[in-house]
Amino acid sequence: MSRDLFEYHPVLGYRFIPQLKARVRHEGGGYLVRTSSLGFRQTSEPTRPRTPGVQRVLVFGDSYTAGDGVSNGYRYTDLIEQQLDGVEVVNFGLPGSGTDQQYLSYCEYAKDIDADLLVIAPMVENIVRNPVGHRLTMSSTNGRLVRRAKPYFELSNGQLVLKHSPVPKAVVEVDAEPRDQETQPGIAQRLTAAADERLPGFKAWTQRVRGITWPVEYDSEDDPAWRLMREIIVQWKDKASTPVALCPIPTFGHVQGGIKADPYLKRFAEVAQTIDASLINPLPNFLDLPYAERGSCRFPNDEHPNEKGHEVLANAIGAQLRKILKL
Amino acid sequence: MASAKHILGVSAFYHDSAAALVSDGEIIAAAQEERFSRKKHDPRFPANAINYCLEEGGIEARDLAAVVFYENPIKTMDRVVQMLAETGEAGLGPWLEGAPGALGTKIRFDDLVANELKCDVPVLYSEHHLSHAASTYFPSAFEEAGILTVDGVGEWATTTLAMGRGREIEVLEEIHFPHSLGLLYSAFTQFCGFRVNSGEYKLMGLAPYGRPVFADIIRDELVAIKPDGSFALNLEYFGFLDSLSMTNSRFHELLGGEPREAESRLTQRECDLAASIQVVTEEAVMKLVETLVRTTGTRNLCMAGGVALNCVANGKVIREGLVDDIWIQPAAGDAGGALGAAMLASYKYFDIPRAPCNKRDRQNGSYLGAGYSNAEVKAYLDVNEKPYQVLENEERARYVAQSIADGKIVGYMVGRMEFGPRSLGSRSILGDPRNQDTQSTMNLKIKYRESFRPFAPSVLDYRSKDYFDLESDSPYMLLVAPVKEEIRLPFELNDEEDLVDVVNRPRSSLPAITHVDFSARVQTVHEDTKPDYFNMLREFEKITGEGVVVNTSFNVRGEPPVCSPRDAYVCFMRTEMDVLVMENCILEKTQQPAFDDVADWRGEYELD
Repeated sequence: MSRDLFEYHPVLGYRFIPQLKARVRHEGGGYLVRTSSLGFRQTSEPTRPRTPGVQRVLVFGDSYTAGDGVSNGYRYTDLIEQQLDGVEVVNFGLPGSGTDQQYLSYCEYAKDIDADLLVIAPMVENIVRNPVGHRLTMSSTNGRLVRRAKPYFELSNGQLVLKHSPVPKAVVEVDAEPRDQETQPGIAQRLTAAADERLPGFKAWTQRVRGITWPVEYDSEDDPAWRLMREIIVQWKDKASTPVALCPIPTFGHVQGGIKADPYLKRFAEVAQTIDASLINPLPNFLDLPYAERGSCRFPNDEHPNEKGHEVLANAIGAQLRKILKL
Repeated sequence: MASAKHILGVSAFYHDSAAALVSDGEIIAAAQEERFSRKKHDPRFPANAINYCLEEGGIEARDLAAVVFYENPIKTMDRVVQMLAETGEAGLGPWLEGAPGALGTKIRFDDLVANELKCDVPVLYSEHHLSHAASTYFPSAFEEAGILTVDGVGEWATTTLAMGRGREIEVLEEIHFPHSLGLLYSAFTQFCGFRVNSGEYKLMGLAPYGRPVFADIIRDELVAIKPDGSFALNLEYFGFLDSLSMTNSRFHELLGGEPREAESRLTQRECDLAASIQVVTEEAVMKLVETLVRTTGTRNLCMAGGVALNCVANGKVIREGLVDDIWIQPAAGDAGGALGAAMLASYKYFDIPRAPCNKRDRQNGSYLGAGYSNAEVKAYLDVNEKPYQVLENEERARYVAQSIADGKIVGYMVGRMEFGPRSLGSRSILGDPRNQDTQSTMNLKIKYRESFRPFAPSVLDYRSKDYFDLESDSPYMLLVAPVKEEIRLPFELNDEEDLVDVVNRPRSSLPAITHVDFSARVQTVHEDTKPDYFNMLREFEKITGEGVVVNTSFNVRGEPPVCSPRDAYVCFMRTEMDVLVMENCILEKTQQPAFDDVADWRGEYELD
């Protein structure tokens, strides 16, 4: 049994317990978690004054950024800091979060931190988390499925209206939702999966050929979920006193599953242009790898990037930051 | 600067599996798996304890210099196979029970480590009794000491006499299976209706009620003890070689009847059996110590192995003046083997220097387990909406002391958890030793048992001589000492009386901690190792004039001591404790919301 990693937070729903020293058992062999006084997996205290001559970059995202499965020191934010002389990278990743919670994290804890660049790095699936008021997660103490409330925004007359404020406290254990007939894999899916086992990459090839995109919420600029996410990003930029870079982090469906990234890249490019933000796209660095190697960037069962995946992310994002920060 | 050598020790697959982390010879962490899995004496691969040790050390698994298993599975397998060959078909039962562990899990230890840690760490193997010896000598402050380890069985050895000098341990003598003092004691444990490997301490607690009327029979028929302490069991009376029972019908006939049914009423026979085997065990231990002193020429003694938890015998070794100084590994059972294996590898395999010890010992009060910050405690209480107040350290000490003085029972969870079976003020239930009702309240309303054993006292180190005839410190509750004559009350043991009634009759001005033979299992509390507990006791002394409280482990019967805030809160609410202290958070029972306990928790835990 691991320690509790999270505590209730009335604005964010939850955050890491501050000043935590924990280790989490994991299929990757286990990983060390250290948190700062702010309750994020930060190795140093970001509230301290900036060191003269050192540029400070604040990075917001979900568990891909927080580094689930990987120890502090080995995540892409840590690796970028090691790569770039004179740059401090502060990790504000919040596992399981939507862009809404990432934005609220900024408002709660980071807007007054003296920084040179704000990197908004949502994993592209985060778009489906934004419209809902709860998340199903695994309890870190007993491994059971629990429903946690989260804050969320509604778009009303073009304005963001915060709901679940304060966020309800209850953490409810729920039974795993049984698959109904419609969600059971069909014969074609089962055949594809079987073929993929014998011929790795087969499933990705079929998805590419069939032009599958995901999440579909990026397909249209008028999709309600995208409009909500877009508005959060726009408002975030308005609040920020630093330059902003957008860095949509692909899922492994995009990296190795053949799912088309064009729709989400298009949406992020549009909004980046609107708010005058830089756009960082780490996907090509994954796609440059031989197909067989792409799968080795994640854990076998847990879909989070492993240390190698973080290395790829660090190389991709670090190279762009070097340009943005004019190093 | 060279990087530190981190060594992880592991004991597992028999009982009380554990892990320990030693870095450059310094003990960083040690914990039993049971505390995390909530399964008492959990023998499984200690994945959670390993996780905790790496957490405490803040190190990556790949940075471990080695993982060391506390015994040699090949030698264990050799014993199991050889015993089967000797006993033939009759030994099939024990074979079927022992073989999966000896031939299966233990042999695959490398795989289990690789599977858990997912990295290529060298795996080393120690030997069972060498691990025990290392677990007691290396953490002690001695530069030179005789070492005695006695338990049920390791690979072959059941008793080992050794000499520790600097960072060397030299094995001098061994007594081999099946001749085992530990198994002899366990045979009586089982015969008296208690569980082997966990009920031995009950048998020890039962002994003062009895007379050693069976001692001569034991000496004459069951075990031959030579003047040098070496011994041989008469195997005709034991069942552990050719059955799944420790004893056989000849044993039962010899001792006048069938074994006691578990949980049935204790009779004078069990009391006399307990007293008898206690006397014989003490004789053997004393002779072994005398031999060790004579052979090694040193009067420092280190002890480990399950028999070293026999604090009555330990106290006698000191009182009889056989040695000048004694140090006993608090996790004397197999759990401690994890620590010993790690220390042995540090000094012997990796040549790490053993720095001089300028403290009482290197065990740090045995507070080597998991601790929880105030932030973690508050996180649990806040999300579950449990009312509490926060008191700073000094105020907390006063509050707890006053609560105890007012007759309240306090659950006390402050600091890192203890390594070893005794609760030493980090995971303890505390009460007022002056109060005549404390004993029955703690037994019936907290522990949910009717016990014939009194509780143990925690006493300020500088006050221990006011209450006990104890010349040395006893920080690990491993020595039994007589209660001072001055505080004793007139008391006669009546054969016909029920044991629970007897134990509830006062025998001293500290009734809750005085056994029927006027003895007490003492923990001396020291400011340097446990300042919060020491300060609380000092406050209690200011209020009451007494520098001693009742201390029992923070659990209900059959449950491992609590580990986390959740464990502590649940135990608090399931029992009639009045106050719960978790770090600086104080909870009053009267202010807590109704506890919706859906689990049938009394069935959760197996009894000893």
